[in-house]
Amino acid sequence: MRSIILRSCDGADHVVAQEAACLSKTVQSLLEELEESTLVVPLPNVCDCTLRKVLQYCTQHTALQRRVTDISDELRTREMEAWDKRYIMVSTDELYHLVMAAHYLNVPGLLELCCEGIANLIRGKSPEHVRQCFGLVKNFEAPEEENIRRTNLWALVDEKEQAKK
Amino acid sequence: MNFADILPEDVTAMIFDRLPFDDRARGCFVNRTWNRLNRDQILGPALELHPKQVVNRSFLDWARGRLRNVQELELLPFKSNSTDIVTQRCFSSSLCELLQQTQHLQRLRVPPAQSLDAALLSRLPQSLCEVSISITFDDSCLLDSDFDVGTLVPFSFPRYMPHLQTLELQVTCVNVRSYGLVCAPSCLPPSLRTLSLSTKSRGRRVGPSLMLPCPSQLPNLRDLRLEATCFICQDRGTSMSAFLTSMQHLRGVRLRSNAKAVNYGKMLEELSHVPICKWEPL
Repeated sequence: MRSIILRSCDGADHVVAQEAACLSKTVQSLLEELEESTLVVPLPNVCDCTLRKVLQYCTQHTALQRRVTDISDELRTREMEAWDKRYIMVSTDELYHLVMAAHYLNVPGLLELCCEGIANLIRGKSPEHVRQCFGLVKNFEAPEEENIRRTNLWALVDEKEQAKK
Repeated sequence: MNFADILPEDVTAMIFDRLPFDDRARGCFVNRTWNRLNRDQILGPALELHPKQVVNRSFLDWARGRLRNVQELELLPFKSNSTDIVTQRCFSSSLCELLQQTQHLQRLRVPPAQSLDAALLSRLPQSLCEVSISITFDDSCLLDSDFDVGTLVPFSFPRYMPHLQTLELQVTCVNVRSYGLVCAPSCLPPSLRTLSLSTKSRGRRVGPSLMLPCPSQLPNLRDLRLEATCFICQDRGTSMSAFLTSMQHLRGVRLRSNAKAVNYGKMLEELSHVPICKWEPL
């Protein structure tokens, strides 16, 4: 099996099986464009730490996909889902870097997983809680906020009830 | 960091697409960017609503113009309480308002525990293919209706529902004081392939009877499930056996009735053209 080297923006090299690296469509395209003898692929938009995490995903998913003979599809899917669930339990900051890398490297499965992870941080939360979680600032002017409140008041009902309880 | 500002627009859209509509509506309160990205959301093809949302005026106003893509609508159950009847009426009229705004609704599912005003049936959208609905008929409904109290409870469907293939209708009569009550679904569309009608009563010892639909109205019917104290044919003379025999395309019949009324089990045994026949006592 051929191995290649992926070089992060801070110059760290990661040796990885080409099969796993090619879960990234960006890497796959770069390999097609570069000369066949090239073994080092520079990735100027991904830092060492994030690249390591991305490659962990690619390696694990390639390994699980290759286990075609010894486990059923259903079991493999369950295993992957359980692994993904553990994998995506990272800090908000890390999740942000991971989603940016997944987008740049074009790893569809990882991108979807990251989006789901971010969506889970938002789901069921109050606007204030979301602002705190993502470090956002409320930048409405009073009439603008009043207009939003009038339109979306129903969405806050449950939150009020929960507060009462 | 502001995710929505820094992340590429397509990634942001992927994140918000994974969220239910109420989270996205709450997202409008977060900041200007989130408001811009969520304020114009259109509801997706499958919509699940809590009854509290349906009766919320603010929600109804918000939903106006956002329901055009909804193809499946499922209502979640809510618990009965002392204001049950008021809530049911309010719920029914609000649901009507919602349904009238859908353009492509194909499936409507209301849980059996959530009953609706019988008048809603005649206002169902014509685009529906599958309906699973439960309606309650009570004294207050009778007072509003033009029908003789306690004789006939007609449930009319829209005359033109060309796509309706599956209808599951549960009728519950609550506290109706008169006896000999007959539920009579009428105007069933000829496109029906599966029909499930059940009648029950609460607060009365004798449950309602069910008037069978006219066989000529249902030329495409394959699967029939009926549940009532007993069954009455439209001309009041035809037997259940003759009713079933006249529907040559039937593949399955399941009846539940009061064992003391008529022995439908034996009758079904003699039906040679229907592969699956089953009778159970109520």
